[in-house]
Amino acid sequence: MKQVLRWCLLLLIFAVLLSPIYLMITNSLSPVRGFLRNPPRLIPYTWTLDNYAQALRLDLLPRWILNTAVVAVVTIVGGVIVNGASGYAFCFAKAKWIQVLFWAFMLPIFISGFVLLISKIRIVGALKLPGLAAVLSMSLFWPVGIFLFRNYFRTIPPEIMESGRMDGADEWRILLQIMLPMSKPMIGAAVVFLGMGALGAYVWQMLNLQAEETRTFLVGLMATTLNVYAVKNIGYDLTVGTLLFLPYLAIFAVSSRYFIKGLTAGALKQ
Amino acid sequence: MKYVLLAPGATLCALFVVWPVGELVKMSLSDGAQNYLLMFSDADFGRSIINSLIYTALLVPLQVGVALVVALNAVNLSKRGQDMARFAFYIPFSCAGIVVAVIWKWVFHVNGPVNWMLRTRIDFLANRWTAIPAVSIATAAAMYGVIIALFLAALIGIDPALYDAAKIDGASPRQIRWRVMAPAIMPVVWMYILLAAIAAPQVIEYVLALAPHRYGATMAYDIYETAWLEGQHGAAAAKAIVLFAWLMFLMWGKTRLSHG
Repeated sequence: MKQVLRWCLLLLIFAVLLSPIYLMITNSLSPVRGFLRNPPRLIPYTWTLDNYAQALRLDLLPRWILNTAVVAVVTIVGGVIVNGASGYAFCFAKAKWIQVLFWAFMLPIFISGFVLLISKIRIVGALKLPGLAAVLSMSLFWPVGIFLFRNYFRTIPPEIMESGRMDGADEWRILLQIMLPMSKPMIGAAVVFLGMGALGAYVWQMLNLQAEETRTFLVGLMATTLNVYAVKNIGYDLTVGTLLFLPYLAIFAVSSRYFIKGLTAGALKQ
Repeated sequence: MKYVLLAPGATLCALFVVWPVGELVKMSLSDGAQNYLLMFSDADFGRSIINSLIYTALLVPLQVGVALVVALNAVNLSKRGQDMARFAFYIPFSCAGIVVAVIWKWVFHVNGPVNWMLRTRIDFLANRWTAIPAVSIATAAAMYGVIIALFLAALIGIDPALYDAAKIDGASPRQIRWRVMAPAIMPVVWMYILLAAIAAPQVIEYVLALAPHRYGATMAYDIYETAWLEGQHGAAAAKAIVLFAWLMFLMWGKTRLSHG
């Protein structure tokens, strides 16, 4: 009986949290009139793809998708290399100044997000970085990732490296042929986080990508809903929401187990 | 080798962390103390500070409280139940804030489901009294995935001997949940109380998408507006430093609490 009640409570909370997404998807598939009808229907009484046709007619949509793909791939590959390498160095270097440097690297965690936005924009301007490069400059450096990588490398038994050294492997070979394959779960988690970060950094991308053809999928599509104040077609807004939701669903489906591993990697194994 | 490994990270850190910190301080002092003095006569900024306090008061219990209840109830479920809990809560989180905001914009619309259920026609997002609670609900819902997953991980990590001892002493399941499990994960809970409090004045994507009106502006939104809609970068930098001081104060307070 207790168990049943507990399930009911959880199911209720799920329903409340997931129903907006369900209604977003179904209502994006129904005509405007159907959407405005109350009560909101669980299943639309007519189906239409008009809203999607309107979104897909956007001339620059393929360009935006390409831009997003470039940002995501460079962020993921570059981010794993840059942050993984830093985490590795911080894990195995003993020198005191490196520990000081470690805390300098962790600064963004403490200054958190929004504080530096204005001066970052100015610096991007001073360096004359074009839009997409500016977006990448912010998404590559990931202090939490450096922290997680450092903690992950600490969990690998030192005997393994030692045996590599005994067999005559140099430090680079130990890194590339022993440590790298052993850190696959952590790299998997980093791919998910970096990918989601690259897809979702809305404010920074919006400020840097003013020219239409440099926009990402996210900024481009959002601009088409946020700017249309005159004609309120919420069905179209919901379509944009659904379209923007798809990449996340894909990432989530492929990688949910890495996601959980990454979240707990640094938290549990100290 | 360590120099080669550290070089890319150090370059990015110097260019996009250390330099911006210096630049921000310089910008805020561009007119002497003028930027800081002007803040006192800036009614919008004062309003955004009050709003941020309201957001903090709403978001901390909404995020951490609900997540704790769910995690404590989900931890005894089967493996499948836990996986389901993770999945259901990850989905809204995994999305960019701004995407989820589109959904909430409709949920709170005059013709949306909330108004239909309440049999009212309130424009929640353009209303002095409901704008902040509505934005808070949307923000909290997006964060549940991570918080619940970490609470679950912490709960699973509790030494089973603790439960056995409690059971031998005749504790009911309810007592075990609230007197044994909840205190055991308090460090993680405190961490998330702090993170929720840090996030509250920085809520911006939901404010951008949901409440362009004045009623829901946070400090982050006010800084954004000052810098990019009014073009006063120096004043915005000074406000950003006030925000930074606020966040530092929160972290300092949390350290005091956890040591005290």
